[in-house]
Amino acid sequence: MKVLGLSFDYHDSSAALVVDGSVVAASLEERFSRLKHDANFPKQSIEFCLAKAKIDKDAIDVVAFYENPSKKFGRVLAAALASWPNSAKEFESSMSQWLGKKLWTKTRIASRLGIDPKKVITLDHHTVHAAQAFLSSGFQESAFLVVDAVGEWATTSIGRAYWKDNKPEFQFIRQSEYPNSLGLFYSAFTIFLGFEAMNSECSTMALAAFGKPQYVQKIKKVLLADGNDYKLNQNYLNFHRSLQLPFTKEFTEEFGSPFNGKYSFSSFEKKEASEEEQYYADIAASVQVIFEEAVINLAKEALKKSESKNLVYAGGGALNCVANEKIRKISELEKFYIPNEPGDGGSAVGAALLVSARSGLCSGTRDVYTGDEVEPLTFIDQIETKELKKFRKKGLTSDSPLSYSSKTLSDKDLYVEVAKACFEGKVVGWVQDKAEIGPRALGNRSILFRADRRDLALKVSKAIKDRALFRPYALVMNQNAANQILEESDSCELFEWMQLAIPVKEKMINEVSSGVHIDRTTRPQIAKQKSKIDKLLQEYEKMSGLGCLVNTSFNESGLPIVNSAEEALMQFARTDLDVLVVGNQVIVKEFRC
Amino acid sequence: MQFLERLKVNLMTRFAWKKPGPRLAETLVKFEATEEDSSWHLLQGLKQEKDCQKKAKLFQQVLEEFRHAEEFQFLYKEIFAKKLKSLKEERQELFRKTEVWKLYAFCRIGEESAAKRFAHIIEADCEPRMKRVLKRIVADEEGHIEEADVLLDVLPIHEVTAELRRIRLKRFKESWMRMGRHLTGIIGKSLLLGFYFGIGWAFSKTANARFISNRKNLKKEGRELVYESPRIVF
Repeated sequence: MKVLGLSFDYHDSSAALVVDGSVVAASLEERFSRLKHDANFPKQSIEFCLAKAKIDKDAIDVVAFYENPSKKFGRVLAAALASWPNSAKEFESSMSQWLGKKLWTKTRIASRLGIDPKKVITLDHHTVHAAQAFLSSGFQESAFLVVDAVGEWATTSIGRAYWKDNKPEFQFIRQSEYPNSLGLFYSAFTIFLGFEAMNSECSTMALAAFGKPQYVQKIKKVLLADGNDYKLNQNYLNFHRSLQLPFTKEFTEEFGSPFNGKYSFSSFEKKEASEEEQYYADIAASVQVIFEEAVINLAKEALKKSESKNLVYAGGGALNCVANEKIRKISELEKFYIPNEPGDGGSAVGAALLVSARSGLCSGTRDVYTGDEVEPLTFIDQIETKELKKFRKKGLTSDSPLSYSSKTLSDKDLYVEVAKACFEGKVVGWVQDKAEIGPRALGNRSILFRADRRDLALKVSKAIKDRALFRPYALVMNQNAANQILEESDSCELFEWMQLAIPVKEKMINEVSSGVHIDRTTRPQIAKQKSKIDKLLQEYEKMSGLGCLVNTSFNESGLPIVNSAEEALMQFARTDLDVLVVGNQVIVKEFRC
Repeated sequence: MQFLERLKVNLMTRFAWKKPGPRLAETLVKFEATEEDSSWHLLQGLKQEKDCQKKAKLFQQVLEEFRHAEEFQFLYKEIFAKKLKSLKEERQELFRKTEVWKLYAFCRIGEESAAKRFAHIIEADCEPRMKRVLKRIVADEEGHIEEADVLLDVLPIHEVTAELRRIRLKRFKESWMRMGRHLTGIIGKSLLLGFYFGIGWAFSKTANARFISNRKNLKKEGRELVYESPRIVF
C-alpha cells in the first residue's frame, strides 16, 4: 500500500511517502524551493518522493492531508466574525484566501496530481500529530501530548494511544481549543520580543537564559490557569483581530510596546545590555517558565489519566528543548519519545503513517535521514575563482583573490583530513548522504568547528550564518565525550536528535565553551555509532582528546538548510567557511597574498 | 508595448517611486523576489546541466542574481529601517529536466525585460538610493543577456527563435492574466466587505458564543469519556 502524506497552506509544507508501512522518502518543501518555512503546495517534495520510490503518481493508493480544511475554515470564519465590525481587513484577507484556494484542498490536490479525488482524504490535525509521535515511537501503548499553535480548533490535546488488533487507536481525553493556545501565547510573546512568529520561537527560548523570571505573576494574567488547563485572557491578546499583532491596549499598557532593535546579549563574549534589553530578556524568561509549568502539568495529567508510564509528545511546542528536558525529569515517566520533526513539517509523515497503520501496515520506522541525497560537485576546477570575490556577503569582501582547491579522498583519509582541519581551527561545511527531515542538522548537512574556541563561534555567527549572538550553538559528541561533558546522558533518540537542553559539567565548560549557553546547558547530539559523523569524531578525539565538535545547521539566516551540494557551494563561496566537504570531496578556500 | 511600459514606469515613478512610501516598499519586495527567483531557476539549471564549463558559468550567475536580491534587501533596510520580508510565492517550472536550454531562453528574455524596465526607472528619476542600486544591477543584467546568447548559440537558430517567441507570448498572456486577477481581486474584495458589513453582524454573536465555551472537556459525570479519533473511510 502506497500512501502519500501532505502538509501545506500554513507553514512548513512537506510530503512523505509510506510504502507498506515504511517511510521511503520525506522532505520539507523548503529544502527544494529554498523558501524558508515554505507554505506552498509541496510539488517538488512530491516529485522527489515518487522518484525515490520509483513509482508513478497513479500508483498512489491514498493521499492523506494533515488537517481538515472545512473544520479549520469554520474556526477562521468564526474568528474573523467574532470581532465584527473591527476585523474587516482580517475578514477580507482570510476569506479571499480560504474561498479562493484553501477550502478546496481535496480538489486542488487531485487536480495538481492528476488523480481521482476519491483517493484524497483529510485527517484531524491533532490525531496526525499524535500518530506521528506514537507510530514512530515503537511503544505498545502510551500517553500522548500535543501542543501547538492551533489545528482546526484544537490547540492542546492529551490522550492515550495503543494498539488493538494490530491497528492504532487514539483516545482523546481532553482538548483545549482556540484561542486558548499555549503555542499562540508563546508566539505572541515572540512577536513582542521583536522576533517573527512561527519562525523565531527558538530565539525567545535562547533569550530567556539571559533574563530572570521576575514577571511570572504579571504574565500569568495573560495566561490564566484553570486547574491543569489554561485560558488566554482575551483582554490582553486578541488573535481574532490579527495573528501577527495580537496585542490589545491593555497589553501595551501593562507590558509596553514590542521590542524594536537588536539585542546586544552574546553567548560567546561579555557584553553589557541596556536596561530596556534586560526587561525584554526578563519577559522572555518569565514566558519560558510559564510555558514549562503548563507543559509539565499537561504531561503529568496525560500520564495520570491514561494510566501509562510512557509519553509521546508532538506539535510545535515539542521543539522547546528546555521544556522537554523538564518533562523528561517527571518521576512518573519511564519512556519518553519526541519525533525528530514534531512540528507541522513532520505531519506529512504522521498522516501517511496513520493511514497506513490503520490498514495494518506500520514498521515503526525512526529514520530521520529521508531527504534528498547529495551528489559530488563536478565543476570546481572550471570556476573562475577571481570572479567570485564580488559575490561575497556584504562586509566580507577581501582584497586578496580567492582560490579553491578540490580533492577526493578515501574514507579513512577523509576523516583524518577533516578532523585535522577542525583541530586547526577551520570551520567546515559537512554535507553527506541523505538530508535530515527536521529543523536540526544531525550530521548530514552541518557546519562543524572546534568546541573550545569562542572566537570561531563568533566567526560563524557573524561571517557565515548571520545569526544573533545571543543564540547558542549545539554540540555533537561521541558516547565517550558525552560521559565526560554532560551531567547525564542516555542512548535514546532524544539525545541523538538534539531535543533536550542538558547541563554541562562545571569542569568541562571551558573545553566546550562555544557550544554551551549562558545557562550552562547544551543541546547535545550524541552521534549514532558507526555513522559518518561518529567516525569523524573518533578521529578528532585522537587529536584533541575529546570527541566533540560544535554542530550547527548548514544555512544562512533567512534560508533553509542546504539540500544539494550546489547550495552548499553557494554558501561556501559567499561566506567565511574555510572547508567544504561533499561526500568524499574536500574543497578548501585559500586567500592568496 | 514599449510606450505603455514607459508610461507605466513614468507614472509609477511620479506617484510612488520618488520618495519612501508603502508603494516603494512593495516594489522593492517584488524586485527582491524576482531576483531571488531568478537565482533559484538558474540553480535548477545548474543542477541539470551536464557541461562543466556551462555549470561554472551558471554558478557565477546564480551568485550574481542572489547578490541582486540581497542588494534590494539592504536597500529596503536602509530606506525603511526594517528587514524586508520576502514574498514566498510558489516556484514555477520553467523547463523540463531534459531541456535546460529552454531555461536559457527564458533567462534571455527575463534579463532583457528587467534591464529595460530598470533603465526606464533610472531615466524617470526614481528615489536616489534606488537609482544607485538599479544602475549596478542593469550593468550585470546586460552581461547576463550576452551570456545567455552564448549559451543559446550552439542550438539551431529556428528552434531558439521559436522558443523565444513562445516565451514572449506566454509572458504577454501572463501580464494580461495578472491584470485580470487583479481586477477580479478588487471585485471579490468589495463583495466580501459588502457581506461583512451587510450581514456579518448577524453572525458575530454566534461566532462569539463559539469562543465562550472554547474548552472541550471530554470528561463527564466523573467517568472518562473517550473521544475516538475519526475513522478513515476509503
